[in-house]
Amino acid sequence: MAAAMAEEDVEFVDYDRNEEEEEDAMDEDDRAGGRALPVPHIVSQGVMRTRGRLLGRSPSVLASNPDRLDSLADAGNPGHGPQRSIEGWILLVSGVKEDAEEDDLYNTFSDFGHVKDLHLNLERRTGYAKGYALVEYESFEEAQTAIKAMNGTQLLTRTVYVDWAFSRGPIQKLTSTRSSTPES
Amino acid sequence: MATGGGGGEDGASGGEFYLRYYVGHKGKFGHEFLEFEFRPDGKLRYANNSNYKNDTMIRKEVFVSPSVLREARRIIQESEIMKEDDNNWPEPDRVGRQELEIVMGNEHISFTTSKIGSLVDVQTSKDPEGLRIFYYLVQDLKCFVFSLINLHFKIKPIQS
Repeated sequence: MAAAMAEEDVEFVDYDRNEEEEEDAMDEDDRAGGRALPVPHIVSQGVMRTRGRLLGRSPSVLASNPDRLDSLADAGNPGHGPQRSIEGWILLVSGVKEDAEEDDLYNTFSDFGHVKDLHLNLERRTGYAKGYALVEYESFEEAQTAIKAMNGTQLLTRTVYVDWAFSRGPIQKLTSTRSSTPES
Repeated sequence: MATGGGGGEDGASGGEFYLRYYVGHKGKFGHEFLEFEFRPDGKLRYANNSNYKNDTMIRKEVFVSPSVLREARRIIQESEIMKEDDNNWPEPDRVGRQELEIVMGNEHISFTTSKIGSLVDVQTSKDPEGLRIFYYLVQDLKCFVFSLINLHFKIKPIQS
């Protein structure tokens, strides 16, 4: 019984703080090297408006677990650039018109190689396209050609953006100083 | 430089971004849940545990591109969930719990409620309009994440 209780305690993350306490708790977190919530580390408290009653006990597994999960990334060689998926290269197409159909995307993207897989997800409320598609090609070259040819072009009268879906490493914060003039 | 492409990070809405969704319950098969999060550096983490057929937990992570994060933001922004409040939503109960935590710009929401079986539950709640937004947003986000995980790892996520 006691053992079961102890296990329970480990499993739950302690979210038990109210808003006023939160700021202090966050400093603590920083020093302790990340306890439960990752959020406090990235937000600037001064401008933050918090809402919601998620207090008490959250069973979050991810937030409490610092371990690496399974991944395809080459652990010894993190970096920039696109990450290969298990069977090919995945692209995200955004800006897809709501009445687009799978055929429209399949036909367009087949110009650059064999489309191995295609997800055109629908909005649950309306049943129309949600606005994005995911396209899989076998080879890097096909995928790259599709990006170059299609990014910023018109598809069914709307401008679509095409980019890699996965990266080999974290997003680089190039825009940390907002006042600086754009390079390139 | 083209905007929507791979380059300039923050896009129109700017600022921080974090998203975590959890749905689960504890019952005779133990703690069964689905959880995913998008971190500000692009790391997408996904965990899914169902003890019903086998007891292996699926735990996956992958870095997504800035474009994918931007799309997640867009979905959230268009839902207008950040204007809602969970005060009048059903409390988590024995049947289960959902949590949605989002940091976007200078706003941070941490909502929790029970599992929602269907729109009937939404309709009969004390805040049908707010809960409906939550109900549909969660499905659209799950759909997005399932596709990403499915295409990258070629596994079929289990519906929780």
